[in-house]
Amino acid sequence: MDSATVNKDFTKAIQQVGGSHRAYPQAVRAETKELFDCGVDELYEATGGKKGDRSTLPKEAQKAYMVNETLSAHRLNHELGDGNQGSQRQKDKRVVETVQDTATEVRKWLPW
Amino acid sequence: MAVSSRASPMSMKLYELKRKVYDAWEFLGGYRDCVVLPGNFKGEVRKEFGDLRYKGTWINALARYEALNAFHDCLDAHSLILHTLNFTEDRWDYEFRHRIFDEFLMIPGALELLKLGLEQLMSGVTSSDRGDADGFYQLVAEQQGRDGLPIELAGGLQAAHSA
Repeated sequence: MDSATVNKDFTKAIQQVGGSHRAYPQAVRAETKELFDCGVDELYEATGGKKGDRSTLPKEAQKAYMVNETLSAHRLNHELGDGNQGSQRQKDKRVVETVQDTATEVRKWLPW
Repeated sequence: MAVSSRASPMSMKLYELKRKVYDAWEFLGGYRDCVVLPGNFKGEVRKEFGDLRYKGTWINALARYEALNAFHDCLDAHSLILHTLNFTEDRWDYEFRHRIFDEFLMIPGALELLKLGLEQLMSGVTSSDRGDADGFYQLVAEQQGRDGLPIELAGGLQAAHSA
């Protein structure tokens, strides 16, 4: 299991519960804010990583993303599933909230 | 569906377009860590893009904001190709794909990010993933007829697509 597989399952889960192409970047921004208290670009800059390549982030940061994306994918599939109805905006909002809420829980176990 | 969407390439109603521009502007404000004040929206669009009575003004705003949103906070470069810029005909922004892509390429560092994404696709994912990016490949194929595509991207793309 690697981060590419985890990320693929995560994006697939977002699509399966009706998230639009906008839901993914929104979810990424929300989880990053919860996990690291900053934006993605800031995270890359602060850690000396190469933008767009998460393998250049510190290992601990990569693991945090992996954990959150794994748990979020499960929650999206099991808690939202076919029940994510309404306008596209509403559906995307629920997706982002689920990912964000998961990240809030994950953050409690992170050492920083 | 394909035929009808191509027959009327600019079919989105103005009120609908304004809503999309607002969403994109709001999302961009979140990146800049600004307090998003809805009352400032029209003033900012007017200041940057001109007369609000013209649909073209709103299309210009949409293209710029969507391009910036695609570029900023991009965690994985390959997600640009598989998701963000993978314009398929069922997407509401399909009719604006070239405008958004043109704006995207004008952002410093955007081309490098796309090249990185292509490299990631060539090295790390399965062939089915490459097939999932058909909307992006189609977009670039159309761009090649418009003289707008940087040569180095075209080369990288060909390699990724045939890998």
